[in-house]
Amino acid sequence: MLNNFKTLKFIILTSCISLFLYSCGSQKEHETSEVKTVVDSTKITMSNIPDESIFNLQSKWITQHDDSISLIKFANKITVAAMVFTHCQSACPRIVADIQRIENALTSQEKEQVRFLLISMDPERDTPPVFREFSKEHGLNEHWTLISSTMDATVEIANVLGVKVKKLSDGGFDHSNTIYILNKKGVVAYQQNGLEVSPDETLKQIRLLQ
Amino acid sequence: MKCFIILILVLWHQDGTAQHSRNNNKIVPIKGGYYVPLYSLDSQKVYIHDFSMDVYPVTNNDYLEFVKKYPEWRKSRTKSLFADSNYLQHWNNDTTFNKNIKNSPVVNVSWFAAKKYCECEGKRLPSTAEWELAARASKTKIDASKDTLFNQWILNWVSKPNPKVLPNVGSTFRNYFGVYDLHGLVWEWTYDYNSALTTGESRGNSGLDNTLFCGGGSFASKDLNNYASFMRFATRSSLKAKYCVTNVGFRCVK
Amino acid sequence: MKNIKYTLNAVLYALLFGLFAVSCNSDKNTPASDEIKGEETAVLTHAPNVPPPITRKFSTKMIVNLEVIEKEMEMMDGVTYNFWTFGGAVPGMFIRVREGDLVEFHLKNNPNNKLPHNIDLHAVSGQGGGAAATFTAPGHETKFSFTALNPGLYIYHCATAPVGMHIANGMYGLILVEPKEGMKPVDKEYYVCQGDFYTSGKYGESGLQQFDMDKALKEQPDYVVFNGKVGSLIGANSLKAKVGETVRLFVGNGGPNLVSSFHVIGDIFDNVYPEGGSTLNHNVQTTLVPAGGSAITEFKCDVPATLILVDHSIFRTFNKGSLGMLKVEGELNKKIYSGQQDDRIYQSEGGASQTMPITPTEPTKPLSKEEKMTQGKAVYASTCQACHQADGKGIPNAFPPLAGSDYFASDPTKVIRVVTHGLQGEVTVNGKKFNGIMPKQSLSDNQISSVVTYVLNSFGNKGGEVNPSDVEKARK
Repeated sequence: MLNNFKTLKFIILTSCISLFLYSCGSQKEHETSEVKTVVDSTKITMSNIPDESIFNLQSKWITQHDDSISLIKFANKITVAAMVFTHCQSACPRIVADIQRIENALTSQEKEQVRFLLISMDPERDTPPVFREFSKEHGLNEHWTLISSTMDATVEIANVLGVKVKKLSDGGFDHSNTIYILNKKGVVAYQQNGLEVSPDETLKQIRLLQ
Repeated sequence: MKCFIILILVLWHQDGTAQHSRNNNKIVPIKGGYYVPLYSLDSQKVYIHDFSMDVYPVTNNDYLEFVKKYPEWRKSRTKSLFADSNYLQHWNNDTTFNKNIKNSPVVNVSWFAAKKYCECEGKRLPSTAEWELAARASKTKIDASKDTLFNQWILNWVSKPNPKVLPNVGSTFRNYFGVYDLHGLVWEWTYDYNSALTTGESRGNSGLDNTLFCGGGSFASKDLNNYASFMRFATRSSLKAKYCVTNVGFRCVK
Repeated sequence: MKNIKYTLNAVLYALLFGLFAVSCNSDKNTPASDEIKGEETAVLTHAPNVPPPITRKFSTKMIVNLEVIEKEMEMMDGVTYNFWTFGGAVPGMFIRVREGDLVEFHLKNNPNNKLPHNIDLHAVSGQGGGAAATFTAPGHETKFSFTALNPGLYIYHCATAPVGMHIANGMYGLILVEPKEGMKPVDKEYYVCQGDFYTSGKYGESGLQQFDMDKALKEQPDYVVFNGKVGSLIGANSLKAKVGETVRLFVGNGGPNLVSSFHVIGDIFDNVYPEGGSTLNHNVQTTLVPAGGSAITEFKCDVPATLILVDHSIFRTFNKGSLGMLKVEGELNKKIYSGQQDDRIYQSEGGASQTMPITPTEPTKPLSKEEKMTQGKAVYASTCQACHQADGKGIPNAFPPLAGSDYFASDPTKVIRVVTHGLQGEVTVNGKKFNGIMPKQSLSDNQISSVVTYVLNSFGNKGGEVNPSDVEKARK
């Protein structure tokens, strides 16, 4: 009960704060990281993404390497993404395992075109050190990025992706278990719903995007 | 984009006058209290702090002022990520609509648009719990959620198809807190409208599928006879944030 | 603690899922010959019509487009209700596919609707019968596909919270999955679906009626009707067939609460597929149709008659509306059904002596008008009221009104003749046509004079008095 009360307060507070951050946050500090990743000649930038791209979200995120980034950083490659919280005891590790199953089924050549992204729904607790610990535990390699942001940005991306999230009083979350395949421009091309689904269809969709 | 940020900043620092000229919506205080969300148990009741709520839903006129100020929310410019193609479909174009709906609640707006509107007013969307707390008040009672007549009145409204032209805001009743139209006019967006993890078919909700949803501990509803409330939860959970629906509007809180 | 719960849950689900998977595999063999060829858009029909039989010998992709429409419609003459419908009428549109078909289902929620809706088709093997996959906001359309694995006649319905209310407002219909070998051709196929309704006003109370949740919880409907309306299958709307034809009725029951004792007065079901399944039963009088279930009945129409479709939980029929008609026209066959052949005085054996009154018979004292009214009221209640109703208003399309009736206004003896001789064939009362059968009533001259006097002086009629001698005259 007390937790809920705190939660609500937190949500209200963060939404107020993040309103400020989100609308008014300075963009400068992140531009460097964008430049770094974009090496292709056919590069995709904010100016040529489609309207339905999730890269249109202007929120700022922090990675397991303490880098502050915008979502456009994930342009130019296929992204396999899911929303998780690292404290999750049941479904989240299974989602991660499911994504790893996808990863292992890809050839090394295909892997070069694909990124794996875990988006935290628990910004309070999912900090870069926690992410690093989680990566180590689950053997996540350099193709994986773990990111978190403000509560408001989290709610927003959950809404864009259609992930339902409900914060529980014990600090956990109820949420839908979905793996998203984003194309190089950040548009959701396919989603795999539920756990322990055969990855065949998802792999097919990834290969279609290559 | 930079323009937009500047505009927000301007708004942020100006408050007061700018808001009054744009929006006639007064706010009234709502007394906080305990609320038990529909799909949960008594032990999951939440305490809601005092807050203030718009007296009326946002009207077409209010919304027009908003899109004039923030052109990126005009219907011709809004990105499909944030609003589907029904966005403001009842308007003739970016800035005009039939004048007889000027004081009707604005509908066909997405959650993103509603959220942004409230932010630009220096307010926010109410949480579902806040909305429900304010909406359980009848004309005379602070909590009429067990009042048969009150619930039947809402059910009667729900049973009817939408009217051709939505009535003006303020056309239903003024509740205990002084808020109008929480029932009987349009559904309204809330900040966490999709947090009730219903699977869309409501019968399996008490034993939620663990493969679709993480967690899913307790999902039984104790308030089985509150049909009006079931309808609101069903409606909310049928929505996605970019949906623009002919009978979904919104109001803000502070 | 939480950990343990999660694990336990996971194990349970895994077990359940495993079981389910196994049973599905063993039950449903989908041979490789089930290749889907081509596609077509399903023809949907409003009750009482049924889409044409499927002649195709292969599986196809069947595209079904169904729109949810909330609208005010008539529940009976002068009574309206806010129905929620699949396709604009109650029951929802009839869907006909073939076993093995891949059904691509599109559920459209009209933009002017107030609520989200979905559909649970009992013909679907899969989560919620499609309910979760079709949960649709107003102004949206959802799509899902399923393979029609099991042949049979299935109910579909809306399963959005509060489910009971969505069904109570009319959100149900039938989907037929024809077996691969097809169904035996018949001459006529009709779609009849029962439902119970709970309204703020009592049966017949005019004006727009609201859903009454309290009555629904108590399972005390005001209306129990076929095809969404009192009189939907009566008079001009009656089902029709010819002598010698075989009729197949696809019967559904949307509920939400009541189980139907479906019966056709005046014929016997030659074949019944109970509960819409594959078992074939013969020579059935009344078949149970569960709420959320169905039955297929077939019968040959042997003689001309107006067959009456009823829920034989009979008060529903006479007081709540579950009455329909199937008019069979054609040649009489006296061997099968003679009609009345004789009518004579009957005295039990030993006859007159035993029944002789102890006191010598005196000519009965003529009753005063007041006494006639008292006796007449009692006779009316026991003999007439079931059809003509306590208020004399009758039942639209079925039983003509006696209240303010222009049928006998000018000539009260007409009423006497109707009572003594019965009435058959079309009559017009107060501008409305009726075409039913009123049997002659076995009442004494005294009783008839009383009840006719009662009718003439009640229900706003003009008055008058009838004597036993008038009845005697009318009998001739």
